[in-house]
Amino acid sequence: MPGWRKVPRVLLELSHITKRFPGVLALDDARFALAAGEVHALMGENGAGKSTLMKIASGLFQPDAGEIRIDGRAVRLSGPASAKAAGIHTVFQELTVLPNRSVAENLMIGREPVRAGGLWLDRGALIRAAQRILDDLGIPLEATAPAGRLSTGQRQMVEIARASAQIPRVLILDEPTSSLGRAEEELLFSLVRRLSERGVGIIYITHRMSEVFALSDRITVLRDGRYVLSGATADLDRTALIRAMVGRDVAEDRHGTADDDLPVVLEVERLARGTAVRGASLSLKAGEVLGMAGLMGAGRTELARLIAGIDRPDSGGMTLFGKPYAPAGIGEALARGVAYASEDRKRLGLVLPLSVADNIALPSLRRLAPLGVIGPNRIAGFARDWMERLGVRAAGPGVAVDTLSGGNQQKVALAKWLATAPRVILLDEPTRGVDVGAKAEIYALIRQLATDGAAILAISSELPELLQISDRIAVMAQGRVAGILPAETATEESLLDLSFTEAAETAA
Amino acid sequence: MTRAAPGVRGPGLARLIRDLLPYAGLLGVIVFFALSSEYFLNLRNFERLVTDSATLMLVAFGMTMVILLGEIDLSVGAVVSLLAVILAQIMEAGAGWPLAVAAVLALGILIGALNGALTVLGDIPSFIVTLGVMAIATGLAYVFTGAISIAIMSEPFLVLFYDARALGLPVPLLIVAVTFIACLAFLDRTVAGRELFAVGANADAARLSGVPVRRRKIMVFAIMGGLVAMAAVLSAARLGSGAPASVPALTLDAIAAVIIGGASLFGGRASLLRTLMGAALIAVLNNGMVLMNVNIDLQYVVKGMIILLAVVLERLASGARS
Ligand SMILES: Nc1ncnc2c1ncn2[C@@H]1O[C@H](COP(=O)(O)OP(=O)(O)OP(=O)(O)O)[C@@H](O)[C@H]1O
Ligand SMILES: [Mg+2]
Repeated sequence: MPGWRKVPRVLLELSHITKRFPGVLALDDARFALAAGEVHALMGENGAGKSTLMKIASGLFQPDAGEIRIDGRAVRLSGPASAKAAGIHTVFQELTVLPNRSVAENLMIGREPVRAGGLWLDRGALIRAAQRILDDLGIPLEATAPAGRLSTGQRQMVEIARASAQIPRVLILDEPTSSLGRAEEELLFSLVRRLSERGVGIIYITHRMSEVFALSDRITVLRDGRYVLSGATADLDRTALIRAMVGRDVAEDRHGTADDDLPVVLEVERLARGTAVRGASLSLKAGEVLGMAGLMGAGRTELARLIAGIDRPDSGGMTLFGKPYAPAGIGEALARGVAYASEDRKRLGLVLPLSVADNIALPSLRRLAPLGVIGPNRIAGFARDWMERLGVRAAGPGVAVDTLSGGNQQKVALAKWLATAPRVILLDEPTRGVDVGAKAEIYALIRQLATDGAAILAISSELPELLQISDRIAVMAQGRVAGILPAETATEESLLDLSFTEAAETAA
Repeated sequence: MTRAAPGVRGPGLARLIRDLLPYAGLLGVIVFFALSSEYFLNLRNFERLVTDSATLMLVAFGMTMVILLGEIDLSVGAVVSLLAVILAQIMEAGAGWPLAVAAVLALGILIGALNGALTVLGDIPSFIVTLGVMAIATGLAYVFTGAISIAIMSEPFLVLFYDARALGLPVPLLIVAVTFIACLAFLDRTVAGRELFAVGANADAARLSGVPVRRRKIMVFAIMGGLVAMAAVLSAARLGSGAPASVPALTLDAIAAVIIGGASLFGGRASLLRTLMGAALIAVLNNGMVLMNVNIDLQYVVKGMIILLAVVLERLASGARS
C-alpha cells in the first residue's frame, strides 16, 4: 500500500525552520510535510536535528525562523498545550512516566474522571477507563500495576497509549522501538497501522532500517539540520537512504569467525538468581565477541548484572582468568577488569546534568588518581581523548550530557566504560538510538577491542546487528542459555527458534 | 554544571537572574545599608561583620556539600549550641582548651557520621533524621546546663579564637579562608569530591559506576559535623560562653546561604563560591538589620522571603523537571 493514497491531504507542514542553540545550528532551513493517514519516517544521523524539529512541532521549542502550517493555515505553537489543542501528540525519546503512580494514573493524567464537580477522584472509573484503553490497543498491561515496576519497554507502551487515547491527528513517535523487545515491537507496529488507518498522520523517528521499510509510506531525511530528501518509501532503497543520511556509503558486512582455540577469560557456570536467571552457563574468550540474543525477560540483562557485580547470584559460580570470581560489588568487578554498559542510559548509564567529561571519567577516577587527587584539566583531557575515539559530537568536554542528541549520549555512555580499560566488556544494547554511520563506527570499535584482546559480551535485540558483530551468538530463553551458534552459520530464524526454547528443554 | 532539561522554553532569563542573585544581592544590600546607616561602612564594623559571620560561613560550606547530595541537615544550629555547652563544661571542669577543642571536634564528627549513617543505613530521609537529632541536641544542651549559659574563663582560648590576629587578619577569618580553600580543593580536585556531584544528580548511575554512594554520604555528613564543631568553637569564643540556644537562626541562615547560591535542593548542583556570596549576603543582612534596629522577628520575615525568592528562581531556571 505504500506510495499512493488518493490525493494526500497535507496535515502538518513545517517550512524554512531554523533553530540555533548556543554553539550549535540544530536546524538550518529544514522542512517537513505530513499527510493525513500516512506513516512518515524521519531519518538522519545522530544530531541531525530530528528531535529538535519534532519539539518545534509539539510546541516545546520556538523556531528562530520558519513557518508551521496545520491544514494549510499558518499557526504559532506557543507551548505543548497549544500543540495538543491542534491535535499534535508526541512520545519523546526521554520517557516521562511517573514511577510512583499506577499505570492507570499515568495513562489518564490530566483527564482523571471526577465526581461531585471535581472534588472527588473516581478511582474505579479511572482504572476501568485506563484498562479499556489498554485493551483497545491490545497492550497486555494491568491498569493497577505501579509504573515503577515496568520495564523501559512497557513504560514506552504506556506513553504511547496515553498519546493515542487522546485521539490525535498527528502522532509523533521519537525512537519508540529503541527500548522495545520483539513482541512489543509487533504490538507497536499494529498499533501504528491501526491509527494510520483511522487517518492519524504518524511521524516515526527511528534508526532501524528494517522498521522503516516495513512500516513507513514516506521518508524524509535530514542531515546536519538541513533537509536532504523526501520520497515514497517504495522508491527508495537501503543504500540510497544510507547515502542520503550519512553522505557516503557504509560497509555492512559480517566479521564473525568462531575460533575454538582462543583462551577462555570468563567462565560462567550455572549462575542463578531469583526467577530471572536460572542456571545460565557460558564462557567468554579473549579476542571474541559473544553476541547474546533472547526475548524480553529472557534474563539477559539480569545475567550481565550478576557478572558485573551489581547483583549477587543465589547459586552458581564464575572463574575469571582461571581464578574464582565472585564480585562483592561493582568496585571489585571494575578493579578486576569487568565493565558493564547498561541498556538504560538515562537512568543507570549517565548522570545527565553533569558534563561529558565528568561522565566519561566517573568510573575511571580511582584508576586515574590512585592518591585520590585529580585536576579538572586532567579529567577534560582524558574525556576529550575518548570523545575523539568514539566520534562524540559535542561542543566540548565541558557541556552537559543532556544537551547532546540521543545517539551522542549513547556514545558517551559507551565511552565511560571503554575508558576503564576493561578486559571483559558487557555491552547491553550498545547501539540503542545510534544512527547507521555511528553504528558502523561502534561495530568497528567493538571489533577493535576484541582484536586488542578483550572478551566481549554484546546483548542486542536486533538480530541483524548480532549477526554482524558477533563471532558466536548465545541465545537466552527463560533464564538459561538455550544454545550457542557460530555467527557465520546462524540466521535470524535459527536464533528466533532458540529464543522460544521452553525451560524444560534447556534443563540439561 | 548547567542543567538543561530537554524541552524547556526560555528558562534563560530566570537562570541569569539565579546566577547573578548572590552577587547582585550582596552588592544590593551593601549599597542599601551604606546609604541607610552611618555605622555600616567603616572598617571596625566590617571587621566585626566578618568575625561574626565565621560560624555561619563554616556551617554553610558543609551545608553546600550536604545539599549537593540532595540531603539536608537541620541539626546544625542545635548541635553548635550543644557542642559549645560541652566545650565550656569541659573547660569548667579544669581541662585545658586544646583538650576541650579536640574533644568537641571528635564529638562533632561523630554526630555528623551518625546523622549520615542513620540516613543511609536506615534509609530514612535526612530531614527526618536530622530533625530528630536537632531535638535531642537541643534537649541535651538544656539538660546539661539547666538552661543557663556557662561562662568560659580560659583567657588564651578567648583570645586565640576571637581577638587574635595572624598575618594581619583576625583568626576566625583565617580559619574560614583556610576551610573554604580546603573544601574547594576537596570538591574540585579529589576523586571523592567529583563523585559527590554524580551521587547528587543520579545516585543509581553513580552506584553503577562504582561509586560507594553510602560511604560518600556518611563522609559528607561527618565533614559537616567537623565544620559544625569548629563553628561551635568560634561561636563559644565570640560569646565567651556556652549557651543552650546560642545561635538561634544558624540552620536557617546556612540553608538560605546555599539556596541563594543557586544550589538545587534535589542535589547534583551546588557551588561553594556562590554559597560564600550567599552567606556574605545573609551576614551583611544580619549586621545591617541590627544596626538599623530592625526587630528580630521582622529579620526572620525578610530572610524567609529571600529564601523563597531564591528557591522559586532556582525552579524556574532549571525548568519544570518531570
Ligand atoms: N536543549 C539543547 N541545548 C543545546 N543544544 C541542543 C539542545 N537540544 C539539542 N541540541 C543540539 O542540537 C542538535 C540536534 O539535536 P537533536 O536532538 O535534534 O538530534 P537528533 O536528530 O534527534 O539525534 P538522535 O538521533 O541522536 O536523537 C545536536 O547537535 C544537539 O546537541
Ligand atoms: Mg533524537
